Amino acid sequence: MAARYRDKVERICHRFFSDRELIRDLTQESFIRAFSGLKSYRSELPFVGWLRAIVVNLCYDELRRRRRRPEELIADFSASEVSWIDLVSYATPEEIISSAQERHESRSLAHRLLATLKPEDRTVLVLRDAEEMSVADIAALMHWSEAKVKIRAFRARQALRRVGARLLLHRRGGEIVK
Amino acid sequence: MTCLEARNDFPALWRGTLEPERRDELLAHLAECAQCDKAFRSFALSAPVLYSEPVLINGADESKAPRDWTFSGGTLGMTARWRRRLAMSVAASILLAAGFAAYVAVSAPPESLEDAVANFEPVSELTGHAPPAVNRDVAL
Repeated sequence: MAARYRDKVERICHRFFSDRELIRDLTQESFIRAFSGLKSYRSELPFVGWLRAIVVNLCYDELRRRRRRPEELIADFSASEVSWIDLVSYATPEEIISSAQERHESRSLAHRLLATLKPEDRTVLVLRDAEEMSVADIAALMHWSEAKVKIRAFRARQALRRVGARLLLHRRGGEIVK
Repeated sequence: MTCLEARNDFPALWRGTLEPERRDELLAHLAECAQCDKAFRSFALSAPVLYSEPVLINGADESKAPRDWTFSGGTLGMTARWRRRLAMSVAASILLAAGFAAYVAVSAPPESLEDAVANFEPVSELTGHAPPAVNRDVAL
């Protein structure tokens, strides 16, 4: 089971965190919980959905443990991250898209921005936009109403764009406001 | 193209799944609309995590992995799982070959015919003892 689903589990963890050791730990913990909780698995439900719920809940719990004040998270940019922000500010959309795949700082900075969201908002955004789950599936997983899922996703996208716009605005002004 | 349509297409543009005509239309819109251009750049800061395939720790070719959970495998870009299986098969073959070679080396090599005749010790069928040597000097 671990060999078959490891990549999928790890892919979800990558949506939440950039620390590779943490991702390894969460991946391993996911399978430990799956094995120990097999008795609770109902065979009439898709196994992958059940496993995914375990992974998402683990990641969500870890997000809540690591929750810090937003102003602490956008600080001390590395030179490569500043360079990436500059590229995003001035390059063409095609150049931005092609460069993002090659530059790991694009992901580290993205994680920083996502970390400014509340854990539940970030989780909804990851499930809806990154994993492309349906609103109904997200609502079932999070034990929310579908309306709540839609509202949270909408607000999370808005918050993310505000943080990004602020970052770009101040970079264009010649400094990054911490 | 309206601004709402343009912004709704940001994820598809990032993932490279837009039809060519639609893509050109969106890029033209971004070149003309300052607000949407700004929105795209802000979008681009978080897109590497939300809309790109992650780079997995074990180096699996995630660009060919389907987005749903019905993993098929067996792609041209060999995944980590298939690399592990290949490695195990190669290792098993080497072990088998080594074991066979060791068996052959330990086993006694076959005698030549001349050696077999020279080393032959006749044994009596009745007593199990070697028969007395024949005195060939006795005249008959």
